[in-house]
Amino acid sequence: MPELKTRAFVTDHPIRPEELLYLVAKPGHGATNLFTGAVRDHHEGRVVRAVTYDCFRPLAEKVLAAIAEEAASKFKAHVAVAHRVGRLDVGEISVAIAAGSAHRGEAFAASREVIEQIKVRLPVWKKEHYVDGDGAWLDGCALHK
Amino acid sequence: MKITIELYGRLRDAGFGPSVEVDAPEGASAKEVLAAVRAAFGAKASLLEGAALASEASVLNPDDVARGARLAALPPVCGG
Repeated sequence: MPELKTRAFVTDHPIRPEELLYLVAKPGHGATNLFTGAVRDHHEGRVVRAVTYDCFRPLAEKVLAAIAEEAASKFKAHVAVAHRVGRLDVGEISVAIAAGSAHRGEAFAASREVIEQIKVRLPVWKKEHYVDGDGAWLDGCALHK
Repeated sequence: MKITIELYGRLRDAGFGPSVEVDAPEGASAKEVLAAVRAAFGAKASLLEGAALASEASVLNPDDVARGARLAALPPVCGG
C-alpha cells in the first residue's frame, strides 16, 4: 500500500496540533515543523473577542487537499493540515500545519507554503466580533485576479 | 431556468439568506450567472465586487459554463 504523504481536513471541532505532528513523524524525517494560527485579541486597533469562520465546505476540502499535496511534492515532505470553522474565541487554533522531512529546510518551507496558499486560495471567510458588540467581515484575496 | 446560488462570507449577511435564486439560460457562463446575482442584490451589488462563482469541485473561470451540483458566489477569501 502506497504511503500517504498528506492529510488535510476542515473541522468544526478543536484542533489538536500534536495529532498532526504524529502524522508527519517518520523514521526518515530529521525535521518536523508545526505552524498554528490562532484567534488574536486585536485587529487594526479594535479589541476582538471571537472570530467566526465561514466556509464553502466541499470546495474547501478539495482545495486544502490540493494545497497539501502540492507542498508535499514540491518540498519532498509529508504534510498534515487542518482548518477549523465556526465561532472561535481568542486563543483558539483556527489552522494547524505540520510538515515532516529529512532536513529542516524542507519542513520550514513546506509549512510556510501551505499557509501562504491557504490565504489566497481556500474558500474560507472570517468575521471578527468586537468587545463593543460590533462585527465585521475581513477583506480578503479575490480568487480571480 | 432557475438556479440556486449559495452565498458565503459577507454575502450571507446581505439580507438574502444563505442563497439566492436567479434566472439564467441553460449553458450560461459563470460571469453571466454572477451578473444575475448582482442584479438580484440590487442596491447591495457592490458586495459582489471581487466575487467568483464556484461549483463544489472548482472555482469557475468567467467564461466557463456554470455547471455543478452546487454553485456558490465566493467573495474574496480570508482563511488561515
